[in-house]
Amino acid sequence: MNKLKLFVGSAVIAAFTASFTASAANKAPGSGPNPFSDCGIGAALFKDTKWAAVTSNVIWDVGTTAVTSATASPETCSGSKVVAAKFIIDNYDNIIEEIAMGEGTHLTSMYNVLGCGISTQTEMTVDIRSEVAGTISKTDYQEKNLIEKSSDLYNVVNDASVAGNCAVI
Amino acid sequence: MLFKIFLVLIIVLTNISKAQAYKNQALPFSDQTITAVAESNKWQKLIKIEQNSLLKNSEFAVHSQSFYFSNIKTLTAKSELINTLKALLADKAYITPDENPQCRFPARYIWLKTQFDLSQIQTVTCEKFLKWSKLPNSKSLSLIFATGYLGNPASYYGHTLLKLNSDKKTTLDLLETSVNFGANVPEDEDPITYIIKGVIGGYDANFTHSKFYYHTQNYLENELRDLWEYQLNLDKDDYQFLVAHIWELIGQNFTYYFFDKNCVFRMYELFELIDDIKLPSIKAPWVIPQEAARAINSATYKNLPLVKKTIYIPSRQANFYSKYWQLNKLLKSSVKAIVLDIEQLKLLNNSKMQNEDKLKVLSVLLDYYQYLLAIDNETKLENEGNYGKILAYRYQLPIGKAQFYENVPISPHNSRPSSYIQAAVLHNRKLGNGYTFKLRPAYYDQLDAESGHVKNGVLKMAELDLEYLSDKLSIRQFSIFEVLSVKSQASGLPQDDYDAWRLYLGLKKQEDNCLNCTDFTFQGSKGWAVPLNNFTTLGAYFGGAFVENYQDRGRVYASSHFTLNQIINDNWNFMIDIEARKYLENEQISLFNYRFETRYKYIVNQNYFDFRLALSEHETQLSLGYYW
Repeated sequence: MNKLKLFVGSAVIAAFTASFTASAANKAPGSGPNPFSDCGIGAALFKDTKWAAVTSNVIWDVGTTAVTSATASPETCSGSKVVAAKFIIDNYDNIIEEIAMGEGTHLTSMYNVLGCGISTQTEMTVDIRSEVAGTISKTDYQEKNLIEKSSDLYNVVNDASVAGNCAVI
Repeated sequence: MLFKIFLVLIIVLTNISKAQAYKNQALPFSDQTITAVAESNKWQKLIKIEQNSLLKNSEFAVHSQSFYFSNIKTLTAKSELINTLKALLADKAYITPDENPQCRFPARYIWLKTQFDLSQIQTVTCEKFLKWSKLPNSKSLSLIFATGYLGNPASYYGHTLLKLNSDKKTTLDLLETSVNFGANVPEDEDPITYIIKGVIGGYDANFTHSKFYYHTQNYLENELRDLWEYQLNLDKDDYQFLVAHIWELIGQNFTYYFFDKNCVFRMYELFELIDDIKLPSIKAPWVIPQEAARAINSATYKNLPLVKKTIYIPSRQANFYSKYWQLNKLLKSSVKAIVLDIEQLKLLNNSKMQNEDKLKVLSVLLDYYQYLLAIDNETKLENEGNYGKILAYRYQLPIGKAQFYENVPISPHNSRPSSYIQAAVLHNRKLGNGYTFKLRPAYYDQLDAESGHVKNGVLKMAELDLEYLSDKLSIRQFSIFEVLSVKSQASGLPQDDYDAWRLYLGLKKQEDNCLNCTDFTFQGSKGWAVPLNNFTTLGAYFGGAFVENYQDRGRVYASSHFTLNQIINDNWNFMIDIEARKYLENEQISLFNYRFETRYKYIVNQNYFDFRLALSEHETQLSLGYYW
């Protein structure tokens, strides 16, 4: 009985893996869905608050948490995408300031987590900056919460003209 | 893919029966060899035996059963070695390779291979471990030192953690894995319970891991603490061995002791695992984070310095101050005008203002509002609104970074040791000549703050000051704690003025011309400490104290202090403190006290001394101090 269960379990895992691989291979660069709205992970992962004073003892393994909690497609909620989304929301102010400047450690780290090659980063920044400049000056920007702002930024990065060069997008 | 999984499944199932036998199998090694290895220093470090005893359970630092193959109740170094070897040699199948003993205890496996012939063991790929450690792409280890934080008693003296560095060329990758050791404190724990349980070992503690940005956000942006990164010079084998051992420890339960078996102790212990690291021993029975920074910077590895690179990572507040004080007068006034009225952003429309200057002003303002958002929740909405307007304005200007020079303070490892002893001769105009002896476990007073400390501030815990006067030995002062918080770099902008506060709890002489008059004192005051320039700071404080009734003066007094801190040069400074005191329960009694103290520091072969001269109404004291 146990052997049968193991066999069936393995078959399911294999089928899952195969479909995930196929799906990832067929994705259109820059057109992926947004983990903020499409993952079903909810407030547990993306909190609408800036960092609160927390004890520094929490085990953080965002990738694993995300995969096991996700209810949408595996591509949308794969570890890397959620790690990228989590990085954006947790470092939002730093990233948005560095996009304005055109450089910075948070911006570089965002590109790293998205798997964007160094050669495309400068062009991406110019592209993203132009989009952000448009949204940030609108009156409703201030009224948006952190999740909405981060989600918007994720979309802007996702839609950047050279985002296809990023492995995770 | 399906076929592969099916094949693996068949192998797994056929091996299950073999695995049943491993518990009873005899090991192919002599008892003498096993005993020798069990008694070896390295094995005992790997299984976290605190002392060289093989018999007592209580000396195992980890109290999680999952850390041992032996039953934790009957655990010995030898039994654990035998059971580890049996587990490694067993032909047992696991559902995932990550459950294999090689993957659960990769450091034990690496080291035991050098002690026993384990060539018959088939090496497995430990995917979880490799994913976590990013091996082989991660190449080096850094010790991170977070400077002290007055918002949390456990962080007064700073904190340490580790970072695993990949071989990327970027200067700071915020997605690197970091490792922390800390107590598991329940949310909403009250401060008294927190302190008591922290001191007596009432909390479990764990090694945990997270992306490094978790700490940069928490420390740099939220708690406004600077970070210092010390990149270590370890070769590939030692680095991988250390990382493997850290993996073994993640999530295991230790007992946390605030004073000694704390984060620094456990980090320090990790480095001691590598034979080629020559670390100085920590002298004091307490372990202070800054001492770890000092120790690893004087340590060697294969006859080279253990630390190969030091990086300063300033907090948002440090960035704000550094940039603000670099602005010229005109730009400072622009910043002030905009802070007072955000509509004055239009000042930056002035075509005569250089673009570079506009970027500087905006950069300072962004840091200023982020700093306010970190310290003041009550004005959050207003500050967020202003921050948003400045950000929007910034986006109207071209891409580019405001040019400021990097203001790197002296690294904490280059400052003096944390503990202090002092011997002094004393002349009391009423009681004659005598001697005093002072012991301060940590950390600094108003005259000896250095890097990682608050200039002109005070942070003391358990300072004992004894006197031998008129043939009597008595306590002059014993501070349970004393804190003076000042903002020596404050900008003077709204919500960032020069406010300061002071708290003292302990025993203190009621006045300087009495014997046997050391009584309980709880003192608090609030005021301002205003730097006139880089050398001179004036302070004014108002508050009072609860004391024991002495000579029917009463138990409560109000007081005001006026202070001057003056730096003469890098080695020499002084302070004056004038106090007016009024006893509230006996209106006829008012006192006027003064104290002058000057300090000259002297360094000989990395030994830190100071000479001090202190004067008060009835006393003159000449002292020699030593930092250790």
